[in-house]
Amino acid sequence: MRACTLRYFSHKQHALESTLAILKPDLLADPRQVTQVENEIQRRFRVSQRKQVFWATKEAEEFYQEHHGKLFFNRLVGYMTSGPLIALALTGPHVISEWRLLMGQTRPPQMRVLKPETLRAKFGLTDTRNSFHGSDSVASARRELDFFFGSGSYDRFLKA
Amino acid sequence: MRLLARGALRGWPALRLRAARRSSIRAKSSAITAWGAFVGQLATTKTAIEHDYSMETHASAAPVQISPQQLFETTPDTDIRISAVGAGMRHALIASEIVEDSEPRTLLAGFGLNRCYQLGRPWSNRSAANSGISMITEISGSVSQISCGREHSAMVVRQRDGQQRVFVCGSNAFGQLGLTREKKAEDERVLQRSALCDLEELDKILDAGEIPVKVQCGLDHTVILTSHNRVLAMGWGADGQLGTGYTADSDRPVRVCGLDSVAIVDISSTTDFTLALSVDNRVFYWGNAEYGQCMVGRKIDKVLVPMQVPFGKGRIKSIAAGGCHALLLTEAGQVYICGYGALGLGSDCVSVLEPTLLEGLEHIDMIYASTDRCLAIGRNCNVYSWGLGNSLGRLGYGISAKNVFTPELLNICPTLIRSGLVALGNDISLIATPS
Repeated sequence: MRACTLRYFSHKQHALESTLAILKPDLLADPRQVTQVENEIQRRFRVSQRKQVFWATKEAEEFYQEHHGKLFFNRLVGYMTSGPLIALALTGPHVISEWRLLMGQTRPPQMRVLKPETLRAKFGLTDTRNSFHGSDSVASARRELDFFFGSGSYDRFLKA
Repeated sequence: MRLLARGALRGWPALRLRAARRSSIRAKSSAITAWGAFVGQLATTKTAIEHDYSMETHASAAPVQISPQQLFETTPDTDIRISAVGAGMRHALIASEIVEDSEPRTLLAGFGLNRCYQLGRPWSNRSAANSGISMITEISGSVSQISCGREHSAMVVRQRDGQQRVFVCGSNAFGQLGLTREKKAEDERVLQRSALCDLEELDKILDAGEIPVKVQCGLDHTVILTSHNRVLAMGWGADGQLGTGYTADSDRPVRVCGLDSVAIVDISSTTDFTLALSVDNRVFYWGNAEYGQCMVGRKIDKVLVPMQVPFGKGRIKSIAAGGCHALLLTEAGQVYICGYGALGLGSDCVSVLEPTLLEGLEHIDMIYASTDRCLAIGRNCNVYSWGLGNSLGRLGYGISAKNVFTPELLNICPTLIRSGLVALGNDISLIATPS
């Protein structure tokens, strides 16, 4: 009985999710880094779809529309349009938080002090050039995956 | 021979190169000590430093000697006289003068990343690109100083007529080369980049008789000091890097504001802010200051126009701007640091908002900074390194070191160090000793 309950809970906890990971323009300056990071990602998550894009200002503004009007908005858009980036759809149990844990928080210098094992500590350059993006909730994952991979992609990746 | 072949391929005067090689066998050649990214593949000495799986084979986590002759693809007995070195984010440039009776010429050797031609020009073929060991470009004139940013490079070139020019190459995504960005159709997006070229645009903003004397590359912007003690900037301006009072980028050099009555004699920039030293020994600051590296006792999101920094601990000998930290060296040989990171104040002190003395360091002669780290060189040529993150062994103490919170002595003892021949990049460090 007890074992059954545990299995039931653990099943619930392993709810399948999809998330959007972006390898940002500064990381793509060095193809060796990209390979290293993508290997690490493939070891941990299922990559449902992958796409390399080179954003125009309009596209970056649309993707970051929730930040419109914030102090860092122009800085972010300028940086994200400076070179190509790679968008990855990752699928797995709790992948939204798992990817954010692996990536680390926004500021690479602080990550180097506090969480040196995270990707931003290892690869991030500065607060703006922080090499990675990850959706912060199921709602944003849906919106962001739709943006890159067409509408309905969140559910499509879960079923696949 | 390989050099000649390449030169011929590019349409360079191969005959003149051969003549240069004969005439240059004179004094003892320069030597180069280096560590970090792409250095391992150039090393002539091997170290006993352990290698871990995450470390790439091209890197060296401890200082090694690299052979200038191999770098410049010349015969082992060729005299190489290094006049300037620069290092940025995984790319480095080394200039060697060819001394002849007629006009001065320079060979520029580069190694590391080259996506935006930050080494000077595209790789000549795929195998050269894959090995990425070195690329040689010949230019007329002598290179007196080099600086490298994230994906761009800039240098001061002295020409025969005494003119000084700024040459630039690499990424122009933010206008950091001072070149007009190409307008492309919406569906045809390409990297904004350029091979090495003379920044002619500079002539439009300089006065008669005014020449550039120093360039500094931030990660995505460039700052130029002129002989009239004025400062110009170009490139990314989102954090106030250009000191214009605005956050707009500029793809041509513009004058930094608010320094009209101040004679600037030195500048330092490596990341997103700039330090400038005036002839009357005042320090000015502009750009990103969100970690309080601006030395005024508080964090400021962005400093849009130069702000004077109060400092009362003695006369300042030199300045070094890092990423989240700034360094000042006094004439007494003491080093003060401010900002965030592995500051040299121990692992329990990662943030200070006012210039703080590094007590373990004495009789320091030169200071350098990069985005996450610092280098100090003592009067006896002892070299101290410290900083955050040890990707590709950039701190120089082997791969097992992670963060180095207290300045430690590197296991090297060069006999003579000249300030223009030291370069601290994000992941590459170079110390060339003069011939």
